[in-house]
Amino acid sequence: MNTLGTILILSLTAIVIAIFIVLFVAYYNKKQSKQKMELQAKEVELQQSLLLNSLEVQEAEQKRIARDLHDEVGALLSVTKMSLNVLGRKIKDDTLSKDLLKSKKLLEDSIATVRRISKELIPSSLENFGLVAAIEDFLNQVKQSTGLSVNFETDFLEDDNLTKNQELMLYRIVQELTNNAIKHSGATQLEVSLSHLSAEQVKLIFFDNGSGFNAQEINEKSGGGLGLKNIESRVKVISGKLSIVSNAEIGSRFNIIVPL
Amino acid sequence: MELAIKFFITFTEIALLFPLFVAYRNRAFWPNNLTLKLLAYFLLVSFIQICIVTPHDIINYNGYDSPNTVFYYNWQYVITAYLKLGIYYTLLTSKHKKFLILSFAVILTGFVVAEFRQDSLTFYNTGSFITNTYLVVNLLVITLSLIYAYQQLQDLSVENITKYPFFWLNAGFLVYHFGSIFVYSFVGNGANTEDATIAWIVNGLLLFILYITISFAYYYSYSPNLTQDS
Repeated sequence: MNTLGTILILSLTAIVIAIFIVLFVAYYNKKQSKQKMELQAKEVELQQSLLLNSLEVQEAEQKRIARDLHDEVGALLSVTKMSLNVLGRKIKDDTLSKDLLKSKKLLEDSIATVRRISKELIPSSLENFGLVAAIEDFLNQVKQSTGLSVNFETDFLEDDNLTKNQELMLYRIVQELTNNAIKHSGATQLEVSLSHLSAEQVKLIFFDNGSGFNAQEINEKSGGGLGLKNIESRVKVISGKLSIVSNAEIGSRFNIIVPL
Repeated sequence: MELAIKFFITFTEIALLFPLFVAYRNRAFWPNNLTLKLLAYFLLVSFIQICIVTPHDIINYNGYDSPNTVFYYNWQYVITAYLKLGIYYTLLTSKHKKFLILSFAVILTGFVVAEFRQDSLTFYNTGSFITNTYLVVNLLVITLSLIYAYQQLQDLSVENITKYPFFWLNAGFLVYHFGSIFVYSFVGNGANTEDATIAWIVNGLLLFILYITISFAYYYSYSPNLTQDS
């Protein structure tokens, strides 16, 4: 073999090894980043499943409390009302009759309150008639009991392609946001809209004209912001995205986008 | 061979001082890690060899007669080959590694014993290289090097591979032994003087690369990545 041949073979060898090492490092890094992404996706999946489990436990507990309220406290209150009716027929004294009427009125209010709480805890209209009917039903009750101006708009038909879990989460979110608006913001007007953003996405908009809030401040308060955290958890469980715009001038606007 | 080339080849051998210097600076020369300890023995054997060979070479460059140094190269190659098997024994995690490395050690020993029939390992002034053993060592180390690279790709346990000491060590061994196959095939096949000169220059460059990669291995030897195989 001549000198040129020798040099060529040795140079080629060097190039082959150099390419091998560079390719090794590149392939290693690529494989490692793929592994990292898979690991991250699994972590997110695990977190979501844990969150879902805890929310399911919460739902089950709410159902149990609602059943106890309806079947036991409600029944006891109804029996008490019946016994007061019997007592009323026996009382001849006008003053006592008036006092009894007051007691009966208070008892009726208590029965109504127990029924309302029980209904809120178990959204039976959601199971029987679907998300739109359940939200409409809930907002009508709010309108009647608080006197707020409530507006609900939707382009949903009966078959909205949402899963049972997504429907439950969206319903609970509307419930939570409404309660927050009533309790904390001093709002006089609520607007809720549920519509298809595209064939693959649903958008829930909740607006109240209250005093607004600072999400960061609420989260920093110890024990505060539980409602907001609950909403965030529920949005996360259904792989949704939540954005909030809130200030004292316009109130609060929550945009939630959920994939179908 | 021209004097400049001879000096270049001697310089590449003395490049062994780079990893020794880095190891000294990193206080990693006698670390707790067994792989690095075996590597330190490898450097020590090579250091003893150049301590013996270099004065002979310098005497030779100045036109005086001195004994042939091939004998020392042959022994250094044999001893360090076993140390390299030991290094890969500590690096490989496969359950078959014991069987594999032992088989390789038996093969190597067979070739070394066969060389004893000639004078290349017994006569201090021998002029012949143990070319067959060189070839076998090269093939064994390349095989182990590729197995280790495959293992690293399967484990993916090192965060930053280019800061992992044993990546550099493995790359150095791969480069050196892959190149050495060609170098010693030229030397062993009775190449003409010009080809042999090129082969020795290339061998010098390969040695230089090996010592630089070992320096990197020592440089990163205190990185947190080191713990991955343990």
